[in-house]
Amino acid sequence: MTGLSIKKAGKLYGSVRVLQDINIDIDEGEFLVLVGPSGCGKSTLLNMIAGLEEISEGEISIAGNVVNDLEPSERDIAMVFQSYALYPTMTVAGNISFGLEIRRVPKAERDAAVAKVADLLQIGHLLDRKPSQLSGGQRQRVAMGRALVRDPKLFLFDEPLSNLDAKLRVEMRTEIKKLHKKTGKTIVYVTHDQIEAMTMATRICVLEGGDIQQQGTPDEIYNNPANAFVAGFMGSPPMNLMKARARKSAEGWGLTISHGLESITLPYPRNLPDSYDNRVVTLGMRPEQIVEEYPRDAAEDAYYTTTCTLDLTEPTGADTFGAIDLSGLEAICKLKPGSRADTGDQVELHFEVGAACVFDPESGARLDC
Amino acid sequence: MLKRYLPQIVITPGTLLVLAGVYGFIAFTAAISFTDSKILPSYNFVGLRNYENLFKLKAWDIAVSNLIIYSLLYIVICCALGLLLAILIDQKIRAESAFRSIYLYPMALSFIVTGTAWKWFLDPGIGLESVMHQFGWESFQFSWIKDREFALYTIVIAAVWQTVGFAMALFLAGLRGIDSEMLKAARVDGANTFQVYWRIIIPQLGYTFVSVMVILVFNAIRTYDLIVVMTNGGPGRATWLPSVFMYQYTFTRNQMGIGAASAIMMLALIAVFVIPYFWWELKSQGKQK
Amino acid sequence: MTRKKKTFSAALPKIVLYTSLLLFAFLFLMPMYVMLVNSVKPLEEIQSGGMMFLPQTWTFEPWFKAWSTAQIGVEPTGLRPYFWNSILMVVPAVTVSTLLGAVNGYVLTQWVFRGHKIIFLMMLGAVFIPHQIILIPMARMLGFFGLAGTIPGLVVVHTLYGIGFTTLFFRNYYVAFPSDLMKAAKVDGAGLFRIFFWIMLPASTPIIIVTVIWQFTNIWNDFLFGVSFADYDSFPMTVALNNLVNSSTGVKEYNVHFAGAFIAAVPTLLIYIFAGRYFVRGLMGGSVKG
Repeated sequence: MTGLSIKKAGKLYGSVRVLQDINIDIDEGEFLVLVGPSGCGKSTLLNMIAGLEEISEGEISIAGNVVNDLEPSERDIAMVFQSYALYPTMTVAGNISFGLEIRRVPKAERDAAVAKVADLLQIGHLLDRKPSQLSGGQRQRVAMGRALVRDPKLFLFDEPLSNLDAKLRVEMRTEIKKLHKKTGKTIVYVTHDQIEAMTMATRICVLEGGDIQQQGTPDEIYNNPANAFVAGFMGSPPMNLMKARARKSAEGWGLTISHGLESITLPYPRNLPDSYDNRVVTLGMRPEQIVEEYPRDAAEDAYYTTTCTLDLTEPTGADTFGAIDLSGLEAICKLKPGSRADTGDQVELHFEVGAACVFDPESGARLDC
Repeated sequence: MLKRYLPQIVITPGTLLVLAGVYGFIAFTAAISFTDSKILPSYNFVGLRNYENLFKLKAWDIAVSNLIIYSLLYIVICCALGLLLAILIDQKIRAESAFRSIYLYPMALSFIVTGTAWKWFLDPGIGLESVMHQFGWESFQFSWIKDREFALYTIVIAAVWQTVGFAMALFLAGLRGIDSEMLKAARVDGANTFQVYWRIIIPQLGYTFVSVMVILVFNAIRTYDLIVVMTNGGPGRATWLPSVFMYQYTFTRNQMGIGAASAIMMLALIAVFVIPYFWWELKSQGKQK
Repeated sequence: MTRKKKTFSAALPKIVLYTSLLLFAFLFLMPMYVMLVNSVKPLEEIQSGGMMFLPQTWTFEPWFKAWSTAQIGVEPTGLRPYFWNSILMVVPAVTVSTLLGAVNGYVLTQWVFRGHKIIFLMMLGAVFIPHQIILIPMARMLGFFGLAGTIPGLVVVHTLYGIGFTTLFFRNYYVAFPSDLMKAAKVDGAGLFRIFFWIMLPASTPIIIVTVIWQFTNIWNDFLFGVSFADYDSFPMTVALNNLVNSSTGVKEYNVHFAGAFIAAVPTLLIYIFAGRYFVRGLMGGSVKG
């Protein structure tokens, strides 16, 4: 059964278009993350699903029912907000049961439902407190409790973790993921944080400028970005996007980049459209595709090896990254763990050319296939 | 030395003025209230006799019971109507600022001007009553302003008209201060507009309610100009308030001792409301920081 | 795709909303309207009823009469001399009380010393006294200094009882002033006065406007001090207007009264129309304390 289906949806404010031609289909029980930079339209889309904003064009259905003309309360959804939006004058129990009370659920049933949710979220001891007496993490749980208690068809999360400190954010991330596993509910989750998207989603939808850039599993999005925007947005540190000149010869394609005064020509094993011969393209390589340590089990010709000068090293604990100048870009590469290499040192780097992506320099469209 | 104490030196003139002109004068008035001052201050102390006499006076009795009726009506109506106006304005309406300005402009007027307008508007001879008669409603009667029973209510009408915009402005600020995500949450929870206001928004306006009421109490106790221009305390003493009593006894009847005692009573009455309010506000501010 | 039809029942809440908004707007504007239309009518027309209607014969005679010939004091001078009395009273009182408030607010927030809280509470308390409490000693003091029944006397009174408000306004404004700016100026070696005149005052335009408007409106509209401490030569506008309206002799010239009331209202109304935003900020600032 489908959990959520969006067909050709769009949003206009007057004559200003903020979303266009949005098509999304997810199954029941999926965890969809809408991710994109601020202003990309992801929150607007979520509000349209919730019924808090009118749907200017197209159709949205939840669990098979078209909801375009339904009030938020009639859509069988629950929502968790960035500011938690807890009612400050009600107790935690009052907050959780408010939606049920509005729906005239009898008191005994309400109490039972609250108790069950409180148990699930481990907030039973907080039920009599007011929101102002809770910590950030506790408020977050109450906000989730308020959504869970209604047992809706669809959960909507609007950047729910962005008000928490870094440590708590990681904790709650795991918690929400566990909760999703346990309840098996369909979730739509909005965030600008691509790490949240990668770690939590079963399906990611990358938005930018009111358009869907790519939809897919986290794996697909990361390893097979549809365009330069997705490639640059997802991943931390992000993919290196550098200018390269493409040339076709008898041995196949070659991509030439510059390193200081030298130029490096990487043999490219995949195919590109012929029209790009002798043209500048954008070459995308993730830091872990430019490495100091030759992977042990890799085939002998999988990597192209050359010597580069380090501009900077950045130890982050588990990994050490280095910056090298490639076609004028401070490209990030991955050094050996605990590498002693320092600024100005020469290191031998291995380029995993076969995994590299090539994009059109103007449109950003993916070229290799 | 001079440089070290410069802040204290700079603030001294203003501080001394207030210390003498407010607190010194309050002490002076308090002292007078314990003397047998008549037309001029005397320093012949008579203990609490002025207060005893004050409480025996019929006029004071009337002034105080008028004040209770007046301030209760004034505060309740201002709060209810002010909140209603604020809620109406808060409905994402067109020409919002025009409506807000119209509801608030009487605050810019002098009570003397407001009183002049309402005095003649409520005058049975040329005002509302005569207009209704002209429209053919011969039996319409509205002569409250000349009626001992009802004159006080005309003061309430004019006072509400003048200050309800202020209550509206404060309530509107309170309404606008509420997190918009919370209102979205309430909609997802299925609450209708009435439930959103009644269950979620109004309970959060507690602070605003207290502020509005303290200021309205203060306004009510101070009301003087409006009465002078509309009824001058009459008919009879039907619209006497403690403020009128104080002025009459001090400056017209030359009973300065009793006048001073009544002023002290007014101050005490205001203090009963204002001091807890300050205390509460300073405490809640301390908590925030 | 389906759309909700715009039916009457769907539009009903909007109709009710705008009807109530307009009804209230009418109630608020009506008294001013009545005053205005009746101030340009001949007296006979008012006496024969029709308070709500536009004049049949337009006349500006009542305005001229109210301004220059109506009997208020002993002489038939109209409101004109009292209008100037009010101006002469308001301008210095507003200026001095605003300056004092600015200095107080500045020192109380940026140069705090032991006991600054007490001084602030004292100033705050001054805002919430009923003015009846100081009438008796103030009358004595003005008499003692020879200021009874004079405009300078009224200036002193209004300045004194304005300090609480002005200090409160400036204090609340300066308390939110970025403290790093102060620190930088002190590190640069600027002293109390230099920082005040070079840094604080130039950044204080909004609160100065708010304070000036608030003080102007309050002092212009005051009645109690005027009636208590002025005499026929020094009455401010409000007292003169009350005398005009409530004089018990002769025919009641309603049209003149209305014109007079309007003349008294014009300065504050103009301020409200052109600087309403600042006026409202003053209102709110005076209510949200400390």
